[in-house]
Amino acid sequence: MVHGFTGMILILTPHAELTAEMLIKEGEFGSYLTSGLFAIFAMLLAAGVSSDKIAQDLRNRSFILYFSRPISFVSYISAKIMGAFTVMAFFCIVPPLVIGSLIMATQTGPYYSGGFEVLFRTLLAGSVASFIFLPFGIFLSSITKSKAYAGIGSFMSFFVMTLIGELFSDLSYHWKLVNPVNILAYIFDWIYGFGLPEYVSHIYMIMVLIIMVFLPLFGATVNIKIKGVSM
Amino acid sequence: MEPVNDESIITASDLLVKYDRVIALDSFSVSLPQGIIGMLGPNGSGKSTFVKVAMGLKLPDRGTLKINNMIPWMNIDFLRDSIGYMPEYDCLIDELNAITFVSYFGRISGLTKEDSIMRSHTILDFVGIEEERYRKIASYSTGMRQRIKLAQALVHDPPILFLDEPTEGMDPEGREEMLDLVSKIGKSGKTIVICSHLLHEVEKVAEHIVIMNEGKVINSGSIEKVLAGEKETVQIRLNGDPKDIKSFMDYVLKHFSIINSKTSGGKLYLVIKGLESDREFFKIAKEHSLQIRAFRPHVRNLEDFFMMSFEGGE
Repeated sequence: MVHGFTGMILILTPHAELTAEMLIKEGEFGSYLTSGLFAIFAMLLAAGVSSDKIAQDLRNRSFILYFSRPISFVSYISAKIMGAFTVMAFFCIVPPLVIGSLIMATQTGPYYSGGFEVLFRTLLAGSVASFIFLPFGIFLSSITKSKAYAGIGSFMSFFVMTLIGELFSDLSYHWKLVNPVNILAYIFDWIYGFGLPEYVSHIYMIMVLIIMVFLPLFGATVNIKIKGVSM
Repeated sequence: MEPVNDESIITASDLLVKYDRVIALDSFSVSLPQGIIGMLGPNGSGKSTFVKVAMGLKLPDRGTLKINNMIPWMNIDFLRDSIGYMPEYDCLIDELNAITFVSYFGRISGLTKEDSIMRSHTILDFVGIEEERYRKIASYSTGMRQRIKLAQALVHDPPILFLDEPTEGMDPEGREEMLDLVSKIGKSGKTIVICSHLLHEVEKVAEHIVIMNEGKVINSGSIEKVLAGEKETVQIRLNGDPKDIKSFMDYVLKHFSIINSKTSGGKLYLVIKGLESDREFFKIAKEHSLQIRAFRPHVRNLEDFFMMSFEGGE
């Protein structure tokens, strides 16, 4: 539903070439990558994929075996992220690239260079979507042995952030940055060359990204370190 | 305590390790040679903390630890390549089968896929896991799980092994087999540190003993020296009237150092130190109308040494 329906519409609609607008700006049936459906899909997938990454090792206490080998805490977390990213990439990078390629294959115009550039930007956008929700999921996975708690906890946290962002955005536009759907949309805008919306502060955006990515990764590393030593 | 020497594989000097306010290792100094080393002590004595420091998982607050003249936390990757660790608690991935589990940790240790699988088969043969290796670990008995834990510690052929309670939860036959395995591994030239509180098991395989309490080494030495006992120490069994035994005990208490004594009705069991003349002792026993039924040099077991160490002897 996330990729197939919108993808079919984009492919079947007559077009001269693949453009960034086709993928991220509002079309007749909503935009493909920024309507919110893609972001919610990525959140849900990240919650599911990351939930058992560390929780399983905590549950069976196997992670001390990793640290009895030449593996640092950072390498361990990185490997877990990479494992989750590979699964995420299959659902968040490959389908947009396939759809983009099919749009190019069915285009009526003679120019392809712009389309290849959009494909490259799609690769970057897909990579961001595959990665951005994982650190928080991995962090929750490092504090509980339960896959269900970690998975549901991750998704509910994103969902609550979405609600808060939307509820308070009437007070100030800055609240929009609390909403993960908006964050992903702003990043996509930037990647596809449209820049950030005027009301989005660059500093706040960087702060939000740090909070979403680096803080959970740091927290997960500290958790694992404490648990690795205390076992 | 034996002095630190250059042939030591593991040397710790004045280690202090704290968990917040709790002191896990305090002025911990030890020198461990190659061979099978039994690290003995009650729960909370610091055995596991020592292993964590040796693996570079925990940094000491003071002091140094060297393994093959290298400091673990400064040569972490190299040293962990040379260490195999078998934890005390269950740490297996139930969803995998034994061959996948062991080869997985072989790969993590740096072996190629082919080498790791080949080596895993060899090690599983060695630890006595046959066709069961293709079954999920979830279906394994406690004894088999212990063997798998040992196999994963051995898969990358490390020269140093840390085995934390290797016979935990095993039946008597399984324990014997596990100790045999440890003994065989020891004969291959590896250094094996066994952390345990089961003295009689350690006594069977260990070549060197370290006794710990409250984060300190309270005694250590080679097993021969530990079990050799002391000169002029004898164990004696006497029979006689309880009244005579009492008066004899009064005399013995005044003139000898008693290591152990038991009385039961008309029987007396004694381990005494400082006996210079056997003839003199026989004469005194006769004067108290006691019959000496057994008289032999005292042979110590590890439990005696352990208890003596805790009481502050030697």
